Amino acid sequence: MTLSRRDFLKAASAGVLGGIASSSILGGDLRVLARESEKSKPIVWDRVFHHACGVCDSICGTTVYVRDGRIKWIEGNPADTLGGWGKACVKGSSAMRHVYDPDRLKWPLKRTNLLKGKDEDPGWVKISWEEAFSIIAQKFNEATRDYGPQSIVLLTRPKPPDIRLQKALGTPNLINHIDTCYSSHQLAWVTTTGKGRPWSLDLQNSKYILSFGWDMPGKSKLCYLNPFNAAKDNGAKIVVFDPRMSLTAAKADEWIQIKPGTDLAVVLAMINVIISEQLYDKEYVENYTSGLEKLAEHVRQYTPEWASKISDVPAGDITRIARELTTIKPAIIPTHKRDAGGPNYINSFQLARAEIVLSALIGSIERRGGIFFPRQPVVRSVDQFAPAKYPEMKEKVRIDGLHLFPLMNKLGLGNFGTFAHGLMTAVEKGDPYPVKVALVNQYNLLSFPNPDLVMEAMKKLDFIAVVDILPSEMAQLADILLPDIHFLESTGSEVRSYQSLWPMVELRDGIGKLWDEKGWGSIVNGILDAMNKPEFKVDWTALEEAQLEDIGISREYLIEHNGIWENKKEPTSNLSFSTPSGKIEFYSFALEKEGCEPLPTWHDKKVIASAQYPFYFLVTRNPWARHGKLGNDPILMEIQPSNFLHIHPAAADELGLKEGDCAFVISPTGHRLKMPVHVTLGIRKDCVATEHGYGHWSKGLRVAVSCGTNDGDLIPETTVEEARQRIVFDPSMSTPACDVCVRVEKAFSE
Amino acid sequence: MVIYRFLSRVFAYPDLELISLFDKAELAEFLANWRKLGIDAEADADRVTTWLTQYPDYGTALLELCKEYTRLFITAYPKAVAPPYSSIYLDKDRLIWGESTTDAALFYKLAGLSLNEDFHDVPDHIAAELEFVAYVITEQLRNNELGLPLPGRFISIEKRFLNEHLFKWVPLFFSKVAACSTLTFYQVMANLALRLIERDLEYLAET
Repeated sequence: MTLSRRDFLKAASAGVLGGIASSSILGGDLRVLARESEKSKPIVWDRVFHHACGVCDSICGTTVYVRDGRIKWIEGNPADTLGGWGKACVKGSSAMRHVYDPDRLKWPLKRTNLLKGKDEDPGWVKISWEEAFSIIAQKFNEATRDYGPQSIVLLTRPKPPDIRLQKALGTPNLINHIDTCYSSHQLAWVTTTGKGRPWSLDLQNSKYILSFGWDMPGKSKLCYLNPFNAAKDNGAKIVVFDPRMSLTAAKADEWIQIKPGTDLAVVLAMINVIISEQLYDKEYVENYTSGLEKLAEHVRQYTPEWASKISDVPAGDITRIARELTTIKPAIIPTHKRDAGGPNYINSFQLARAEIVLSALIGSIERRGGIFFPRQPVVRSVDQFAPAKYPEMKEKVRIDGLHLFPLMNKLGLGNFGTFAHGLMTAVEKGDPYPVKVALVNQYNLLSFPNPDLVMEAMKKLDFIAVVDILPSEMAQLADILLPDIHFLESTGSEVRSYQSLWPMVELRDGIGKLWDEKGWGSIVNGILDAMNKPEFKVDWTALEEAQLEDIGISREYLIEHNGIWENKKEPTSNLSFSTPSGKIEFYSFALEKEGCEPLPTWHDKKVIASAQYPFYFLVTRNPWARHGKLGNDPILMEIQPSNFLHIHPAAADELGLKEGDCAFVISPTGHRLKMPVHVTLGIRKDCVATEHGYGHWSKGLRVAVSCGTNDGDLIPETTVEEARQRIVFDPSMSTPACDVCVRVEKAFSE
Repeated sequence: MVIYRFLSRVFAYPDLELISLFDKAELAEFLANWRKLGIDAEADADRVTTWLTQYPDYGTALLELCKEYTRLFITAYPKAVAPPYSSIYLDKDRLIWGESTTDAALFYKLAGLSLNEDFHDVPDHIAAELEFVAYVITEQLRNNELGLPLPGRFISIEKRFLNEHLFKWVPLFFSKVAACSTLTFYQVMANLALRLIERDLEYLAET
């Protein structure tokens, strides 16, 4: 009788082999194999949520992973097809370290050491929010009572809570930084098309991308980098004019090392070629533009040969590229900020205008593969939600002088370039009137040209309240220092602005506050309450809910739909313009009315290289940087612990400089910075360049402090008088950050 | 155990109640009793009482305490001297909310506790951790008094929390505070805390 298999196996393990079976050789647990549950377990997350990144204005959708109470991982949100396209960049993924930075401001603080300066210890003491608001209110009320509301300066962005506060207080001095950002472009678009800020670029459908210093891909703005890459993958031709090999130039088919500040000549010559050879989009120009005849007459003087002498670009290339622009369709000339047109040189406004004219000639505005105005959801405004009767703002004169630039003043922005002198004159001489107190929201000293001068002016104020995330340089000047919420802590929603080819709203569903910080809207409410102006307060959370309702959605909708609401459709051309003629105006009536040049006109840049200052000074920023804010991150700083002076090999040779040597860089501001040298062919021989975001001196930034040098020290501030002299050809009051020349000397080791 | 609760109070943000505590005779007696633990705290009690007398009133003394607390533990120039979180001392990247923070939170959960919302800070703050130790010891003592068998749970929680977590970072933390504080109050208290830890470590090893 044969045993059943089971009995056989049973017997085999007992009985005869019994002794061995119980021995350690055959007994015991598994040796070669292991139980599934004991092997490395798949990560179990406590929470996964979608969240609109807040590091830069690309506002990419991200997915955030939390375990054990802490954010452990951030990656893209695949549902965001306008920003990150399912990816998060180095800035966004690094944010998970920044929210846990022990140097973060946590509680309201009061200064007990009244002396202010780079090496002064403020002597912080923690106070309650109640006390903080009460002190601010007292100071603001006193200043208003004794000197009028204009004695209050608000250094902050022109968003709804900021404007609300400004109007409630009645001060004209709401000052922000757009003159160092994109003021020239914005005003150029407004005076040419009636609308501003067309930062929606249909790059992925473009077949020809022409950049004059535009380097958004190199700044890791994913909303532009992604479609740029897609265009390149689809065989688009990319031509970049830049004195330096930016990252965008590195991806181009042609990189043309144009002389800095001369792009205007090239663009004017291209306009000339396109008109005189009749290559422009006739149907588009006929229907949607005005002033062609005047323009044609005007640009005749701007020949490729003329432009070539100014710009170092061969005349043949200028003509060829102009022709390519009209034959390889669709073509796009992307612009935005800190490119050649905005606002790096005193001729940047004219260049910005000329680029729009060129874009219109090739029919690329509001056309597939071209530039679009933003498509954003229509929602109720703050004043509709919470109407208030604002006091009359009697004083129109501003200390930054912007009131003298009526076209620009209408846009409600500000001027960082003239701020230092403007403030200093006000505090020292009471001219145009005394200024006594300031409230600063997320602006740092190092964002200004010549920051030392700004600091000296601010030290003379009676009282400064600062809202910030980290103990920045500006924070060191505060009398009251208030901790802001980090975007990863916040809840709410964000409306896409950059690259809003169609309307999109993104969820913020953060981890909650680690300490007792307050968001800006909440801070504004607290100040208004303490100043006895509760009628101007706004329930910002309720407003946001109401605005979502206006779109027909809610927070729950966003949570249930992968953190995104969108009305997704390819933008259809909207070719109505709110100019006097109703069309894109080559000849701008708005400019003519103000006595400014109505046609794009050649002007040279302000500073030409000389024997004393032979190098054109260019400023850039690393892709992992956001302004100067991310310097306290040890991992990011490890990538590049200091900024370099980028210099051409021939120029380096002449100065006896080798890679890694140190050089002194001297500018007319009188500052002398020591920088390590990087020798590269990626820059013109007559230019040097460095990265912004270094040179922090605030010891509260324990990682960032003393790494590298601050480019802003070399950049001169402007004065209102100087800006006024240019108003006819630059009504945008730009602060020309790269219109400066420097001297370079070898630094011998000490 | 009142001692840990006392220290938790001392290393939380100071207020008038804390100052008035030091002016009372009961406190001097309380500190004198530490001798039973083998810690001579009488001299320290005197030092603090003397320190307090130099101020005309509690308000002035409190301001000095608040300034120093902010400087030591919150935000300072150039930087806070001794951020009072375990993650700064125990975790590789020395940021807020490391793995040790999660460990602390887990211990609290095991004992049925979590951070009070009004505290507005992260779980491994020294004041929270010290209060936690006080809690688990109190629970054990209470059971003792009621004649109930000691809940093994609390014993093991206490032992593990002290050995695996708290005692791994607070010696460094208190040393730093003792060495760097410019105010007698925190010098003395940190020193006292150090000696308590040393003694408690000995006790733990014995049991």
